[in-house]
Amino acid sequence: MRAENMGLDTPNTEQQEQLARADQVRGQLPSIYGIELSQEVAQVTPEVVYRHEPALDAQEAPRLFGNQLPENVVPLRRDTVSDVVVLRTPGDGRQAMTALVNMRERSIAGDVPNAA
Amino acid sequence: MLRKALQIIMGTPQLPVSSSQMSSHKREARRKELIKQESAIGATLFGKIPEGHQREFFCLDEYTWIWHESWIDEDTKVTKTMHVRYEFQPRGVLKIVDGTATGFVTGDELKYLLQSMTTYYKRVSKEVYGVAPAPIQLA
Repeated sequence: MRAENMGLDTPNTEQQEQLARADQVRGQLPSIYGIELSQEVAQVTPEVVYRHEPALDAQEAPRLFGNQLPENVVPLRRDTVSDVVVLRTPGDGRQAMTALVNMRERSIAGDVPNAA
Repeated sequence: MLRKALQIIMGTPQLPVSSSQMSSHKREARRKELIKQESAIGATLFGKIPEGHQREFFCLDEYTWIWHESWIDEDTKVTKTMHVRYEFQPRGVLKIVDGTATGFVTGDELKYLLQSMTTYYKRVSKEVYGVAPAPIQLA
């Protein structure tokens, strides 16, 4: 089955340019992070996207791949690493963080009484 | 632009902030207040705070923890700060000190960090939000 028939369209010119920029940024990442990145992070895939565009935010990031992000891929806010957007799957270690943030948001909404 | 110019010339008051904007501001203020309360607990989880130091430790969002410490250097009388971000990534917890990534947290540091996060979650659930913490297994 051809990729087009599976919903994986060939990137158009704009997407190709974006991917080329992503590749360029990928080469700069070790200097941004100060460390060598693993293959999984250094590889430009739908799961991991970099774009050296300060205006890019989490909502814009999926557009790089035509809004065809796989399930469980979570776009991160761009301010977590300056000038770099990283899309990554949620890990088990974030259970407490997710629970905390949910609790905080429910409290702000008035669903959870503040004990303090 | 014309309206803005007239406001400046005529001295008319600016348009009131919309209710949605106000609501957004209130929510953000409330979020900051809750994080401040959480941080007051978080700051106590790593032992005694040295005299003259101010420490904050809190969960910023679903991916990030912040440790911020400030103090006045006795010799130079200059305020010094240390800002650490712990970012949960697919490979592990990336530590960023004062904007520079120092690598993934490993060994005892990772063990103590995860223990502290668990304690933080349990105490904050109870002491800030008044709810029983759900069982959490940190990876």
